[in-house]
Amino acid sequence: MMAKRWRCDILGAARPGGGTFWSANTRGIDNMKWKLVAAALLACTASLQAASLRAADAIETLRSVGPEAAGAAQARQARDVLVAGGSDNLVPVLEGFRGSTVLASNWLRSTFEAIADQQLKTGKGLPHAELLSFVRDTTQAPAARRLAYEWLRKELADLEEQLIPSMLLDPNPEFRRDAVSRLVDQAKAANGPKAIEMYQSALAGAVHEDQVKVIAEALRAAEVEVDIQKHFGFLPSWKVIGPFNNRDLVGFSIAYPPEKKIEIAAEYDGQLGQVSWQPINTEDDYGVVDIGKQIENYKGSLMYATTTFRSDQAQSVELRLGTPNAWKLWVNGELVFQREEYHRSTQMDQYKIPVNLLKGDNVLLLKVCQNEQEQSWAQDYKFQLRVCDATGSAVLPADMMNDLSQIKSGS
Amino acid sequence: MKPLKIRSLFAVLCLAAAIPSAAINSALAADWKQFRGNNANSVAIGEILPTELSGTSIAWQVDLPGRGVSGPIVVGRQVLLTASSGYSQNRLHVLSYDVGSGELQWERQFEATGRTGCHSKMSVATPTPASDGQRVFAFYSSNDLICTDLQGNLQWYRGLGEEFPNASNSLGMSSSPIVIGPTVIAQVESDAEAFAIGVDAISGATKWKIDRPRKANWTSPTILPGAEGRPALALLQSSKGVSAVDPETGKVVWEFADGASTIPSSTVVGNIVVIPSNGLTTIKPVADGTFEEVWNASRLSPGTASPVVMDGMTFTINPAGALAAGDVESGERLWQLRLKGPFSSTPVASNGYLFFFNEDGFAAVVKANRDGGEIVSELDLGERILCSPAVSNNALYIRSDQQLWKFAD
Repeated sequence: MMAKRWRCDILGAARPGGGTFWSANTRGIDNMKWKLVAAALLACTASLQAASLRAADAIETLRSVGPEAAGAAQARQARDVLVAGGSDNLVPVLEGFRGSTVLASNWLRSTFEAIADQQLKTGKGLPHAELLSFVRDTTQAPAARRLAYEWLRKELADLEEQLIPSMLLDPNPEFRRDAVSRLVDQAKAANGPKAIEMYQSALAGAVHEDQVKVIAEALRAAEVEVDIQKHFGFLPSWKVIGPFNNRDLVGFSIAYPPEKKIEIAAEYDGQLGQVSWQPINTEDDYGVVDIGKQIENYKGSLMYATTTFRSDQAQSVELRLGTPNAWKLWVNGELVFQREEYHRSTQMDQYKIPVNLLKGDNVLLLKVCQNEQEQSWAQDYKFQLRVCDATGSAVLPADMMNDLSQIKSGS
Repeated sequence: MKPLKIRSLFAVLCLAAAIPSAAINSALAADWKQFRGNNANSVAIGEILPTELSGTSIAWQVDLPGRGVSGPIVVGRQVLLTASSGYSQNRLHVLSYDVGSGELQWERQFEATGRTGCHSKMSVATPTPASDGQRVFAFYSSNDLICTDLQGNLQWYRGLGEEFPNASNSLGMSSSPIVIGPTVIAQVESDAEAFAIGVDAISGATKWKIDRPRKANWTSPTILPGAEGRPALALLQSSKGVSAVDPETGKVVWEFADGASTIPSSTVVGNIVVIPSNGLTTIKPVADGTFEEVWNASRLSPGTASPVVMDGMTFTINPAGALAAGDVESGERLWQLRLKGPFSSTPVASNGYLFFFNEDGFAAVVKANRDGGEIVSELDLGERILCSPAVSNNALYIRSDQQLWKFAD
């Protein structure tokens, strides 16, 4: 806004008789005036470039903040520059989200909000067309698009109606949630095949447990098969070995043989005798492998579970784990996270671990530890693990990719 | 009761870092700048609050976004509080309302960098924010520590959940930060990783970080004001006991090592530290950096709410709603009064009255003296309340999960 104002002021001052600058000039402005105007124009161009450069630099400064408040002082100055620049900086700030860390995007977010807040409080309003175009651009950062949408919604009452119905498979899970919610409401009000069709469409976009539960319940009541495991990308088939000793919690830090090398045919000395790898499968909708029930709740023990995920390409995914037990997780031999916490509740997607998968087979190894607590609420010995993208949408193994297309189409 | 004894643990005084007690309470006396007030003891001195709670004593109530069980704070003309929203509760809100009208002055939202899962009773916005009178320090279960100025402009951002990804609790974290002089102090303690951190209030940089007992801990730090040339200290409670820490350096000055609760927090009134330990235990710090243990009373054991001291009496409330009054000098139990529970919220004490809010949103005002307690008024707000109230300029502020309320005559 500041850059635009400078431009208008200078050109306006140079206009004789209300004509255009160039026509005025050709009608005979004297030489001195021409020099003054030319100088002003050069200054204006330089100012424009400087302002633009400053905005770009300021955005880059916000994108550069790091942990431990690194860069905060510079970020405060950069934010002030961008806020002073007004609404012209709204879209560039949003564009800065792409590729930024969450930490940096929070600086960008608060800068956007400061500008947008200022626009609304001064009655200037938001640049609707530009922000709407940004929301629609699915190549932009999902969080930035949602931010623009939420601010636009303050001024555009029909925005939800206008945008959300087409966002069922949007890269932003919040948009998907809104679209699914609308479809579910419509399905509840409909009957027969039309309702089933709506529920199936809604399922194609649903990435949240609560919505999938409602949809699956309705479809199953109508005797329509729903594979929730596959929908979420849970891994149901594992090989497990154990128990190994975890009395007094010693086992968490002991590297038992399966940690060193996975040999499916091998036998080892376990906590209660010789142990070997055994297959275990789960038919639970949410992929829960219940060691306590399917094998035994060995107190003060630990088990290893392994499976292979065949990826059709090298790709970044999230492994999402739920377990009330202490655990360690390796992918292709690399320890990706470990956590020594027992019985502080569990839920789906309790832990989100970003990993890079190789094209082809990827070996997952999970160490699950049980302690010796005796309370009734401390007896679970189980885990659930799924592979998905950042929206929570399933990433299926290569041999199930054909099935994925069926799920997405709701068939 | 245990006999009086004297212990000497760490005879270390950090005189170089001495902070006068006045620095703790540098803003307006009417401000309520952190969890349980400026001195983190739930006592509102010099305030006259409405004791006849009714619809007419509600000055205003406003709807809040998202969810939250954090308490409000008051700085000047602003009521500040936090909330979280979204399916994953990963949207963090900092909100400022006008004390006079309840109008929203500004709101800033951020995306959590740490884990946001927690027990359904809790919220990502469980810790109460703090202020140094110029800035707001908003803390969340995700361990995001966010500093804005009083106009909502971001000053710095610490993603402690990202910096220390194992320092989380799958049930949620609730410890509220405190401010002592130029330092923001936060306890981040879980089974998997536990530490306390002192952060520079202006820059957000780490001044110190110390390891803490690796055990889930929902208590909040407390302030031991400086006196007689001694510096103000931060009291950090855990299952092991209470550590008195120099807020400038993180150095442990003394330790009470008889164990303590991991839910209700210690409180300090005058030179007495009241600790939820083996029931209730009181100690008196002495000049050489040690402390004197005064008494222990198992019959004064608190539940979730922290103990409060007023007019020479301790007040504790158990999970079922039994309010117990004890003598602060001796630990003798004076009387008991049954209230409608259960309680998570710590009451505030003011001018001879205690103000309670139970988990169902039922408010009770109790007039308390050494002879007994009397419920003088009750009001059903009909909404879940787990936070502790704030008091400022003869008004009381409380937040339910969905609303912010102001009571004033």
